[in-house]
Amino acid sequence: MITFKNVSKQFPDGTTALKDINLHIEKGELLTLIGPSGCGKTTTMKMINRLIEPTGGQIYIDGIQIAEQDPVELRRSIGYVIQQIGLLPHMTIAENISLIPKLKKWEKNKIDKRVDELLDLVGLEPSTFRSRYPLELSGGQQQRVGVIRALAAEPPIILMDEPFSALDPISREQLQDELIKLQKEIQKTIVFVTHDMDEAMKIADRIAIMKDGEILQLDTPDRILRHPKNEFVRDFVGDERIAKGQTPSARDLMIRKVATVKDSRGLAEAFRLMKSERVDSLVVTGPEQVYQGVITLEVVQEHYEDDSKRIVDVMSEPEPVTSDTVYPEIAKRFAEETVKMIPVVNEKKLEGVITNGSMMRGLAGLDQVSQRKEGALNE
Amino acid sequence: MNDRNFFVLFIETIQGRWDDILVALQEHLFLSFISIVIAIVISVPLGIFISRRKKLAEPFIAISAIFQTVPSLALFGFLIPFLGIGNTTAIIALTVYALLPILRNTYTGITSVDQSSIEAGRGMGMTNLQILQKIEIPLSLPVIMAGVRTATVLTIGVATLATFVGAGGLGDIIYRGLTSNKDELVLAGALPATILALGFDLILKLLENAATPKGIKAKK
Repeated sequence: MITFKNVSKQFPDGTTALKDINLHIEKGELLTLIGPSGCGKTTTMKMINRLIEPTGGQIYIDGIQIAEQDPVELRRSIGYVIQQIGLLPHMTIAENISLIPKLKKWEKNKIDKRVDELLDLVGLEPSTFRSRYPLELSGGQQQRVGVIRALAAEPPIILMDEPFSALDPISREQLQDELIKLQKEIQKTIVFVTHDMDEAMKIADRIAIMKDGEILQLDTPDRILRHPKNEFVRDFVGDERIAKGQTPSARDLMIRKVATVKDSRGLAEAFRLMKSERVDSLVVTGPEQVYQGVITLEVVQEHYEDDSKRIVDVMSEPEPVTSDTVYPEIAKRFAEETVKMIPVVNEKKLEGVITNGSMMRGLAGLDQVSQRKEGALNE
Repeated sequence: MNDRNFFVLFIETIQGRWDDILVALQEHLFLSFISIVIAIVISVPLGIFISRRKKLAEPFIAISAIFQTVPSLALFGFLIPFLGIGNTTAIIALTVYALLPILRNTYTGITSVDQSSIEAGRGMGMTNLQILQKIEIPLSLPVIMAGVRTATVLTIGVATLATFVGAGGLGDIIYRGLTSNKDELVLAGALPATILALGFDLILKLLENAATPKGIKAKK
């Protein structure tokens, strides 16, 4: 579908952005370009719609050299989604989506139908959103419109330049999921630039890892994980992902964002903290985050009437583990003792806690959330 | 002179000179209007042009700023040796005065359009002309209109000096009042000029609001 042949780019000031890139992108695949900033990933992508011209080599789309095509015509057959979204603020959502179909002189009926169809596709109710303006939408909604605007004129190729990285984490996850779902339906050839390895692993059919204007490795996410080509790729992918085969230790299983309370406080304070943090247990710490014990909601309620009691008087003191303690030992503790959480310490200072939930997530290779969010997940 | 007398005198002057005032008002409007139109025709395209070639922006804006700094009466004076007296001289001087606000606002308006909108437009396959028509001009129109408004109010004020190059206008009446030492006559020229400026300011303010795209006024 898209072929780069010995493509290079040198900027007028003499810096080399790309060195001799050879790349073949298959029809219907989602390829992510990833690498540290300045690696040439965006330059590579922008060459496909000729926003940047190469200084050497050729690029072909379906066997036709794009340097010989009219750039405006070429771009109208390639969808384009950017990080800053770039919706036109003076136009309604429907006008934004129909911009390119209108320039292509589609019939009005066909355009209207297409707009509704696309809004439906990303779960935005057409009758509500058609006539809204971009500034009236949330960031996540705006980028949904950004994506369907790129799809509007039914281009076979879509370029996405870090489309989700300016969004909040929740919207980002949602849009990634929607993109995966969408891609199953539409089967476009998508070139997706990102600097986020998790994102690349999640959505890509193949990943091209770039550094200093070169493609270091181009492979499926799984093969990159299993066979990182060199030290840079290994680092970039992240040791923890590669080490997945090894026995996990407390470090992988613990939550780092823990709700804590100082040992000198009273029970009312502990109760208030539990309420505001929405958790049912707190880790008690002394000066300099030194681990003291754990206090649970049950205990607080039991002794609440007695205002002479302080936290230290009623807390339990489960034995902490260090971050190197391996999974079997931790599992054994959970099985044999009736503890809700096991604190993790480093030279007596609190590092985190392990709960049943965080252990499962750690084993599944998921990211750890905060204690508060974990509570919300369990509700 | 007591106030009551002055007021009566003023009304009488207005009534007596009504035809003169109307003629002067017409001349004043004519001079201001033509100058503003010419200034827009020059400044808006020039502003767009220098927004494309930013190296030229600084010198062009500097030149129009120098024109603006020359005292207005002196500017009329400079032009007389070359152009003599009459409407042409007045219109040229007034146009030169109106250039800067419109030029500067057009340049600022166009260059402050969100670059991401333009990049998205270009990436989707809009031509430069389409980007100008559909993105840059609509988004910078409020700023350009604000420049036109400033220029218009300024021009209506300065046009009272056109009388010194024999181009008429409300300045004629003010000048006649001054030379014949009749305060009521001075006021009969100054008051319409002020009302004219305020009126245009209001009308253009409304136009400026109308030019602001709805989607930009929209709040979250």
